[in-house]
Amino acid sequence: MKRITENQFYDLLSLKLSGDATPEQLNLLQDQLQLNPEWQFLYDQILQQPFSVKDENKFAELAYAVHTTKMHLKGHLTENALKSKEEKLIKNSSSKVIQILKYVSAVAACLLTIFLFKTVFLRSKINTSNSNEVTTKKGSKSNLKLPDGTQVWLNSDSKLVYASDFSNNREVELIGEAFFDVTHDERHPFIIHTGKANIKVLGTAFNVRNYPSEKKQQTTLMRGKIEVSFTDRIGDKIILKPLEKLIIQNNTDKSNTSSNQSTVELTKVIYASSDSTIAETSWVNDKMVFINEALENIAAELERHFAVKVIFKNQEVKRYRYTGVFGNVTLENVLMIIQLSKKINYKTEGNVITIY
Amino acid sequence: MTLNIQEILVLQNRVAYARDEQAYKKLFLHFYPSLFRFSNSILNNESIAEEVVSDVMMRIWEMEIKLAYIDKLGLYLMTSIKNASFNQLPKTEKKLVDIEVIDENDFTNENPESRYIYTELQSRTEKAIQNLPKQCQLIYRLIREEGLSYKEVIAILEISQNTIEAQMRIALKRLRQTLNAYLYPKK
Repeated sequence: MKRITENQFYDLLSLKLSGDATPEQLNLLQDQLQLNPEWQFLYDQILQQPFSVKDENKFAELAYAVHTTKMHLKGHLTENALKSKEEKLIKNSSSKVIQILKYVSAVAACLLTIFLFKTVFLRSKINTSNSNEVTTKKGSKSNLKLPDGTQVWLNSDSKLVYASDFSNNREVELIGEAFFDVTHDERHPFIIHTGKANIKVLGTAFNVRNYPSEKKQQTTLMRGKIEVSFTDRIGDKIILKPLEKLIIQNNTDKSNTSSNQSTVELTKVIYASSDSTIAETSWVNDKMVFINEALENIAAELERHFAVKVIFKNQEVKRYRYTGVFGNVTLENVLMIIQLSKKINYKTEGNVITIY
Repeated sequence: MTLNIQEILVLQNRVAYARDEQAYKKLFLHFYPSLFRFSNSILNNESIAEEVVSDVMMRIWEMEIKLAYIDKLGLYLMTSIKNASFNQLPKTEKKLVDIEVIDENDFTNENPESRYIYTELQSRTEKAIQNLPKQCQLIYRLIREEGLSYKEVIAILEISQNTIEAQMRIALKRLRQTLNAYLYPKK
């Protein structure tokens, strides 16, 4: 048998790779490979799986979770669609418990501890006489577009301040929680000021959580890159990559004013695969995600979300921990579901919930 | 998740008419890996590649009933990704010109950013592929990595069969040279 030319070999191999080779061509290829060990080696190398992909499916799932956030921000996957899905689940409340239990095991792999410390206060960096302010009350969210096209979703009980000549000076202040989708403009860095940190945007989509009443401040990056620097740690900088989260806690001790530095923790986002939800931005999709969260903190979240007041008559119950994903449900449903997990006694009078 | 042609059509219809989110999710998970790889091989930037794929999939949802009329969704998506990715390149790069040599370290296990695990030989092979002229590289990847047929590559890249043959010869020859260098290193 005669040896074919090098180019003829490449043509055959190419047809084999694309699936276009005829049976005759495949036979010819096999024969030629036997004649030429060097070609056989090339063939083997090319045909073996070129790379082992680490959890390729998991990447796709995470990408989808980020994608649905964007979908929801654009107004797709509306409340009505979510509501009817949730109502079906609630009718059979035992299935909701199963959903919660399954969720716990799915998330266990991603879960990292969060520490609680003291509050964060905001120093005003923006000239207030020349600025715009957007505030949200408890129970409502807001969506706005800044002069440069950046989209901001403001969660309940939050405030965003930005300068009037924003396009030249893209700096904002945030108290509360917001999700940012930043317009690319390399000449004007987008900077967010919170009490303890300044966040410089190098990428596009991320969430910042900075409620004064909470003991920690969190920044979660969805896509792109952001650089965080600290007001009390000059020179320290941390760059976040997608799906990473930065938690800043303040080490202030009322009796000890000398060691005032905040501690900083870099972790991964909390992702619930069963629901394709990333916990930190679930509020954008009108969901609430709690992972082994104390009732005390859940109550604070409920106060914000439903514009109610929660009073604890029983201090021990404050420390009960719950885990779950709540879609667009009513407060009554949330309380009912919490009951299924671990019983609490409560009374509802108008906008006040008393837990005893 | 892998779906066959019939399953894809069923899901398309469910998304187009019933606005079924679960069906949409299945399509997303099925197509995402190859769309991302393709976009990334054009852009060499994982962040922007993710955005491009997200935008294209967003349009799939937004086109509503029109989605039901798309004949070969895979091909449609790959073509969309190709156009959207090239649009993201800076003006000077829009023609298929040669790219610079990529740092070999990008493809080793020491790089924590990398999603892939490579042996030494695979690492060199990947570098060789990255060093191919852009269009040559794209053609090679579509045929070898995405397993597309000549016809599909012709449709997506809008080139001729002769071009495919010529470029595949270049790519395979380069790979052969890489393997030889590995087997018989010059001292």
